[in-house]
Amino acid sequence: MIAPQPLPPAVAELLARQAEYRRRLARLSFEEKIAIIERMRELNTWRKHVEPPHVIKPADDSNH
Amino acid sequence: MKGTLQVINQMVADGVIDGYVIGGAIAATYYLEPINTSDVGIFFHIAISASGLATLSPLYAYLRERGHEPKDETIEIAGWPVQFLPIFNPLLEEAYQQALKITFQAVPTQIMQTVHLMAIMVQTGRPKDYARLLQFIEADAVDVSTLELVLARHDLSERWKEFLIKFGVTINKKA
Repeated sequence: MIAPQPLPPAVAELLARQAEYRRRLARLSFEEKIAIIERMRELNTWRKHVEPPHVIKPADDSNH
Repeated sequence: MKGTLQVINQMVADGVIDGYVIGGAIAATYYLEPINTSDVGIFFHIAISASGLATLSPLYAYLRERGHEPKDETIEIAGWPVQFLPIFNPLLEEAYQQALKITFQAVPTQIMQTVHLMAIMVQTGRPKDYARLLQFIEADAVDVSTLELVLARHDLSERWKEFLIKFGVTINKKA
């Protein structure tokens, strides 16, 4: 089995900050959390129905 | 969500369902950070017809009469797709009987306790259930001794142990 490698300090700090952010979200009231989920749902709907599709255009190689 | 719960409470008052408990991601959100979900899971006792068949027809008819239309496996109520899920085993029955009574914007409602949510995740065993179990453990949002009693009562202790080993989880039990 491969021994786990210690994370680079910058990554460890980022993960710690993310965990603290999640703990703060968990301490919100139920009403506040549901309001956040409702915004997430709006965003999901926008992505599905309104957001312009990401089109990758073929490279213009006419000059080559 | 407030309007959704008011409609569901009215269904109870009108005798369409005898009660309910919120489960799934919305119930988990009560204990954790907000979870990106598309619907509300409502567990209830399904009506049995005169011929002995379990049927959702009276529930659908009641909601249709009030302008709430089915959409895929859900029914749209006041902006939220609601999934009505029958209580079909002893664990769900216990979750229903021991539901936590709360209010949402002054509307009374019931949600599953953490131990029952987690036991249902162990029982269901989909990848997203395991991911959410890890969230509960990381958030230290459960009394593990109580959870283990529920798991033992519903013959889920072995599955729980397998989950802990598979994901390398060490539990620190509270004194």
